[in-house]
Amino acid sequence: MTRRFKPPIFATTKRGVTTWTLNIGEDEQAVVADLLGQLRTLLNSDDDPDAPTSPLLARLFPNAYADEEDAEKEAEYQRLMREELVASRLHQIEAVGAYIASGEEQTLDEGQVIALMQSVNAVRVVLGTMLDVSDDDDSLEGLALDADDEGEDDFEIERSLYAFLSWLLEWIVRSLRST
Amino acid sequence: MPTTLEPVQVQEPDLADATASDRPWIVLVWNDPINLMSYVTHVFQKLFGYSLEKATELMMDVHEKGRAVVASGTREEAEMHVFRLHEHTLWATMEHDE
Repeated sequence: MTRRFKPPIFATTKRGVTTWTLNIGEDEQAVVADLLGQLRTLLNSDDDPDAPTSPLLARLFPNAYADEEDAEKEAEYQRLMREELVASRLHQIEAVGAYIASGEEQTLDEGQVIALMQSVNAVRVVLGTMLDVSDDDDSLEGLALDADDEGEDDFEIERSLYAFLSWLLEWIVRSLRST
Repeated sequence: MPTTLEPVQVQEPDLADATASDRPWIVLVWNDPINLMSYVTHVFQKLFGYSLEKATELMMDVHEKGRAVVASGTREEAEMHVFRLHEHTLWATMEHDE
């Protein structure tokens, strides 16, 4: 458990070159890899532009134009950009998949960290949508304990994963800021 | 971040104004309950080159007022900003400046 004394990700600068160390265990890396795989599946199953979007993905693809009078522009935007947004997400997932869950401590460059940040947040947003997160509470404890009053919590695992990813994301942002 | 999920009603641009389509567009980021405050601040800094102070101020506007204007420009520029914000999974829209 020595890794607990270090952040899950941190930056080191040597001779003007900054690298990041991903310092989470093999199991945790496997969890991230598995979640990214699930997101990839969701994204690939939604490749028909005319098909209704999976409600879980709604927050990944918001409207660009808020005004109803811009409906035409919105349709054009979605036609041109949606595919590109899907491609961008898949590209980021692939970039992370290339190094994660290899069972070794990872040294990353900035682009890989950004891909990790975007991917981790995309999964958080899907999980948050599933959990219907509506708290004004950014604390992990609050979310982890936010179970149904009835006792049974069907989404206990998802809540834990959401909290884990929030923790990881917080450290990713911190590591990028420290450079 | 607070709970507002639906955009609040905004004043419609004046349709009678023939120059409406020439006016610059503004890019808005809306509050959502999932994105972390530190993350939102970081994205604003990274995408728009804002200082930590400015980015934090905008993030707090999103958090407390429900939305903030984070950029403006031509339609193409605004669409690119919106796209990059969507890449970061922020809830961004664009509309005519009023």
